[in-house]
Amino acid sequence: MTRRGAGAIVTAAIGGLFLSQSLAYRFGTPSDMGPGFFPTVLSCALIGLGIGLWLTRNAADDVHAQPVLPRPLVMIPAGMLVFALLVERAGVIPATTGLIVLSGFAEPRPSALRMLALAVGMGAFVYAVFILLLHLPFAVVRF
Amino acid sequence: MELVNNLALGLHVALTPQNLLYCFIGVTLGNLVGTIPGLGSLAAISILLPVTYFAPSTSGFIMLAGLYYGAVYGGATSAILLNIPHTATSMVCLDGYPLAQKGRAGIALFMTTIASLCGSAVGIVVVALLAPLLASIALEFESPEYFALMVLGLAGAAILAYGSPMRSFGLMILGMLLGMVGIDVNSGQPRFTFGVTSLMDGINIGIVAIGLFGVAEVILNAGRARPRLMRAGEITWRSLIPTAADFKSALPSLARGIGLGSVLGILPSAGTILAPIVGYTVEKQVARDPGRFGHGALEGVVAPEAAANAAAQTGFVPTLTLGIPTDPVMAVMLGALMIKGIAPGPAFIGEHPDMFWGLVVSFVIGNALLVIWHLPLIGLWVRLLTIPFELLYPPVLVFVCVGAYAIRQSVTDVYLVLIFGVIGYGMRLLGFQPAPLLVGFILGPLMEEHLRRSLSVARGNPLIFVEKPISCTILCLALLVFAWSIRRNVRRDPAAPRVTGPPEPTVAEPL
Repeated sequence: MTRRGAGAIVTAAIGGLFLSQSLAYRFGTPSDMGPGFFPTVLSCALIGLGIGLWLTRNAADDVHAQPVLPRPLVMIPAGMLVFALLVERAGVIPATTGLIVLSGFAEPRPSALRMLALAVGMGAFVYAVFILLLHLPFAVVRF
Repeated sequence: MELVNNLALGLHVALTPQNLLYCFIGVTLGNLVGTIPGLGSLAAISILLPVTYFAPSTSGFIMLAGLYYGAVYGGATSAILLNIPHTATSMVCLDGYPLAQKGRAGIALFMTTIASLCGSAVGIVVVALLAPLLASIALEFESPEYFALMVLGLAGAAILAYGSPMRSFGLMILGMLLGMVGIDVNSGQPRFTFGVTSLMDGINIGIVAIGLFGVAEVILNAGRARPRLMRAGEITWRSLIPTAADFKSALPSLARGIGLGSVLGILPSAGTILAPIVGYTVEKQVARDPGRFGHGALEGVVAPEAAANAAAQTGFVPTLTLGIPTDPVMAVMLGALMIKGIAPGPAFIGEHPDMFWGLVVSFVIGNALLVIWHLPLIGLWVRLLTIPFELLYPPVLVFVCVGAYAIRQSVTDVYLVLIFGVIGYGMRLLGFQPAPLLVGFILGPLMEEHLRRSLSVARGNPLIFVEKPISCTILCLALLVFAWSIRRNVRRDPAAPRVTGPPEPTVAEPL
């Protein structure tokens, strides 16, 4: 399947997902719009556009194709996930360190020295800016 | 006289040490991220958005605005030296890079700086004169007029500014739907929250922007080989100085670029993106020898750059006086204001004169700072181009995560940024430009509200939109834009001037 075809299917599917939710809200009348009125109209339009994209998929303008690199696609979200998991449990400095180390593996040749330098530098930066300067109530390190 | 008083007020606000500092930080960071390949102005603004939540409203807004026009300035540097387009400067690549290859990079850089400065200066004057005027007219607007304006804005953005109208419409609608997440103010009904309590307040536009642009751009660019073409030593002071002939050939282009940019910048939802494209196209059409374009014509650098900068300033007119953003960056800025409880609209200037006039004067200060910064330090900026991305993206990610968490101290926001980041990356893979989504996200809830009010007043009769002369005119304009796009798509005339399609980027194109 072409990328354009995939885009059409994804568009219609998202429209369908929103429509299924919108139908649960009161639709109302034009003079008294319910919470479901506008979302239902929009979801239907999205499904319609998905169909339109499918029908015109050969005429649409070309996609500037980028090859998918698996390393960044896996390691950067993984780093952010670790940050989210650690920031309240272990504190903002361990979370930052985890993020830098994991996202460092997005590079084809990860360097331990670079990660260490970045972790120390960014740890100090986060402490200085967010805690000393902006007085945010973050836990720095929690044991 | 009133203008003088207002400007005096603005001067008073903009010259406080705190606002000067924020303006300085904004334009410097803007210039920096504009120059560095791999981060667009939208990504930069999104990443720095959380900082503004903790700054006073006026200072934060001055900084965001500085970041924006600073990035437009800086973007020309990487466009000329590395052939890397940013949205606002994509047209500068077309002739700027060939000029650099001919050893005339210094002159191209100098002339773009002059073009930026002149474009901005005229743009600022237009803002100061036109914004209060438009605001006084818009005070008469009611819901039908606003709804019509938003339809025009959406049509303009979808059809004129980005590649495929259907894709852009799809993304705008998705943005509008995402804008509805949370409790419906009229009925108290939670919508699209999927049972997650922290979604009840809705999704913060900052979170959407940080994910779609900041994170998606990092995933897209990390681990890729990057071109390193330029050595800092190649740009010397002497190489910056243009000849009298250069000046003579560039002056009319400069004037045309400024004129076009100032006018186009005011178009809701499309202006700032269209301005440099139209600026370039017009130059090529009026040139005696159009064959030079694409091979290093100075006019092809000066006109789009002047137009981009003029539009970057005049774009604030509809954004602040009508509450309708002229491009996704403005949408993010509107979001930032709304979060602070400030509603941009016709009453904005009257209610927050210090903020508006302070902002206008800060534009002057910021642009002066940019010139002082930009030319003498050009060697430094050029050296920045050689910073490897592997040293750049981990700090960006830290800023993204800590910033997203800091907005509400909610881990859900970090997860949302992550989800939007992956979605944004997926969109790029499928050939969707995520920018229109942000415009929809801001306009969606407003459109629903104005539609509800209009129809409620008219007892459900949709003819209210065509019975009122102003809204009818605006809707006709929207229809014209729509009809033009259909005609363009049906005919697919290869000779017709294409308003979309920036040059092929050498790396993943930043937004």
